[in-house]
Amino acid sequence: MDVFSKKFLFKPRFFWSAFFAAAVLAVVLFTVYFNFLLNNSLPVLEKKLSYLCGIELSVEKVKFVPFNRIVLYRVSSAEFSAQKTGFFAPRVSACYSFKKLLSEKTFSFSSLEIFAPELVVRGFDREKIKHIVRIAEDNKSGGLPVKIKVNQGLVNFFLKDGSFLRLQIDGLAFFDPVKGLEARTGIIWDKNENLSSRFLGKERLQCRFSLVPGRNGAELKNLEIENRNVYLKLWGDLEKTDLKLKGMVSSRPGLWKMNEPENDFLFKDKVSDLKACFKGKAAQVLNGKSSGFNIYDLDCHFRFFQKKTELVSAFFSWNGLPWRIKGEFVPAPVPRICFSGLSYPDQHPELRKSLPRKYDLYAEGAWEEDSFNCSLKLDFLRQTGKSLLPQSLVLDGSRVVVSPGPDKQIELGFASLLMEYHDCDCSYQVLAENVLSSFEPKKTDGFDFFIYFSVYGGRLESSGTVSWDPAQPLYSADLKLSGLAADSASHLIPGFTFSSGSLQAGLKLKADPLPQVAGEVEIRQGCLENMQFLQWLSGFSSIPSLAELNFSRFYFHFLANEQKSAIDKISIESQPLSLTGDFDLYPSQLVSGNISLGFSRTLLELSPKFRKLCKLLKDEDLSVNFDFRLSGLYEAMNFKWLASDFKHDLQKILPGSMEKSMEKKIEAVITSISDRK
Amino acid sequence: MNLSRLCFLPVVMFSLWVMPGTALPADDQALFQKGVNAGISNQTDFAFSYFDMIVKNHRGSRYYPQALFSSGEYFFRSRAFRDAKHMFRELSNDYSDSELRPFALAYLLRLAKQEGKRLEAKELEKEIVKARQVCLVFKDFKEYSFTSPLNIIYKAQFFIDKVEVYINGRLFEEIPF
Repeated sequence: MDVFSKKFLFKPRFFWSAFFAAAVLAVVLFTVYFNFLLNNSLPVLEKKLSYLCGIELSVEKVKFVPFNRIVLYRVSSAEFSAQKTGFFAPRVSACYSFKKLLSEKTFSFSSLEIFAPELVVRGFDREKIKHIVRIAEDNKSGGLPVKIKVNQGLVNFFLKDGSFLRLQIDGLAFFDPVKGLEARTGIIWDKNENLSSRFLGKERLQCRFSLVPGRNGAELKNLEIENRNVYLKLWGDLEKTDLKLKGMVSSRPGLWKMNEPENDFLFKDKVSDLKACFKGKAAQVLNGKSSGFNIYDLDCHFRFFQKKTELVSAFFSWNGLPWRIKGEFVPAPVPRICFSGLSYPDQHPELRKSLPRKYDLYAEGAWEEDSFNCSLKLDFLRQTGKSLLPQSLVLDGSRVVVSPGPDKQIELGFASLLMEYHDCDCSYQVLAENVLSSFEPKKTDGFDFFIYFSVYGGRLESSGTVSWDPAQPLYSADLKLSGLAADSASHLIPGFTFSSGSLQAGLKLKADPLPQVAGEVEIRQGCLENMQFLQWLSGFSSIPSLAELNFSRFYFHFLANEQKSAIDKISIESQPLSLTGDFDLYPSQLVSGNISLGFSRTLLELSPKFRKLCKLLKDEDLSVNFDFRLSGLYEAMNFKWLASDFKHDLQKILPGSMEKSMEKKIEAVITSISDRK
Repeated sequence: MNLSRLCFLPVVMFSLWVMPGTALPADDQALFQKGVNAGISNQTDFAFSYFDMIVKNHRGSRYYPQALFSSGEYFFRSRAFRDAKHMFRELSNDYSDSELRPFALAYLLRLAKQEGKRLEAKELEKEIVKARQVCLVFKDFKEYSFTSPLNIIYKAQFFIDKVEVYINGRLFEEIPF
């Protein structure tokens, strides 16, 4: 037996088996012992962790996994809830460097993996952030892990204004000193209380980024953000105070699938385009390509100073139109932002004047005494025939408020908004007060809007839609004005001056197929004065009351587009006279119209000239109608008194010489009051 | 003999050089009258030569617009349309108050139509419509007539919705608006 045992013991197979069993036993024993030690020193570990993270943390259980891994279970801040800043992770796995422990006898973490962490942040505590940064600086060389991996994390930010932002990492996020910060398939979900979700859509925003810190800054290798409405891709680098970024933004994210290889997308796109062409939808495809908000060549340069951030330049082309934007943001003492932009930035200033899509934009805003005031000036050219006329639009808003609406809208309000429009030879100014507006992004490119404000003692309501097509923005809107003081608003109605009255109007604007505005205007209980035709009538008939015409209702329907401006269904209801008619004005300044005037007999009898004419009237005739045809140049219209029974009777009794003399006198009067030069 | 002939030569040369351009200011009236008389006698070539002298040498003359118009008429009748256009264009541009202007514009309109220049024709139609403002109380149209120095009778009838231009009683252009 002994002989057998000795032989057996010295056999290599037995030796290795025994060695392996002993080693396993040693490891098991060491693990059990180490786990016992760790769990006994759990309070010390909790203290150390609390100090490192800046919040009080508790760990339910700790476990050592051979050979270099420590796993913490249910790590959470004290009383973790959604009500205060806190942290919870079901499992945190930390690896330490076994090699360093053996050779250098130093204990340092090499990597940290956090599984499904949940972080609640309520407001940003500057002191806590400073504390964490200081610890990170102190432990750069030792204690802290150099690689951090977050697996399926969730961060809830509760901001001061009550809005809520949720950041959810579906996959893995890495922090590596060599590779930098990299988040793969990271997803940001923006809850609907937040403002930015109105612009970007309600559902989750996919995000992928890769950032590598450098000696003097960092390199942003890639940043991609995508949701159903927008796709953004940026790359660039930060060197000392200069941040240079290049990239693209597109409102057609379907074309730029983040996870799809580029070549695949191109091939698919071309095949579908080809199919559409065969189906006779080529035009639709081409139109589709040019639509939307697309910038493919963004190149911008920011510079950070101690007291301000400057946008040195941002070059981009918006569907073929090149732009350059400059600006700056000054945070103190009064936070102020301003920027200027211009199209065709590389063209010579003289050449730019002849480009129809020349735009010059300047905007600034400042927070003053808890309110934000802003102004915007846009200079552009309006094409009329072959000529380009300079135009200018100025908006000056005070006490601007931007807030999220009840559904998906963004609400924008102004205490007052001064709107000025300068044409080459005339200008309009409207002061709107208590402006409320809301904008709702559409599924396709563009947005719906609603605007309400007080103006000229009345109010204006407008709703409409705008589509982003940079070549020619498409829009349609309905406007409703009610209760406006006609005397204040009369400068908006060319050709008429009202000294009193209450104005109601309904307008429709549309850009497709041609820009057009149409609507109806009604003024009740007003007074019309300084109208060319009435002045002439007053002078000719020697009835001064006609120069200022009090009316119960003044109504007209109008249509204005590039081909003509037409006023039809004109109707003035007044006690002494009634007026009906229609009037067309063409871009050539030629007019065409009909006016029918009805005079009451009592009014005619007031005029010494018409008193004799009244004798021609039969007893039952209580009024006389004069029908006129208008034509010729707008500033010097031609008049013709159209045939009627009254005219016929008058011609019968008037001698030819008197007809001629009357004709000459009337012509002299008309010529004297016309604007002909 | 030869020497005496040579002595006269500079005098003749000087006279030939000086004569065409030395008409005195008072001569424009005489030239115009001669041109009108030639026009009445149906000697249009002679009439043109007098009016042409006024056009070339008497730019500030009170007869200049009429001479310009008649030169244009002559060129138009001679089918020298380019020269005619030049004359009528100068008249319509520089003498906006002239009674001849609507008729010069009518000629220009005819020439633009002949050349197929539709946009220019539209502009000219507008100019003719704008040329007169009318107020028709009892009449249906207002008539403006004029007899040119070449003895051609012009008539323009301004209706409320059209203008008709007649030359020697025949409808030359009708401009509806």
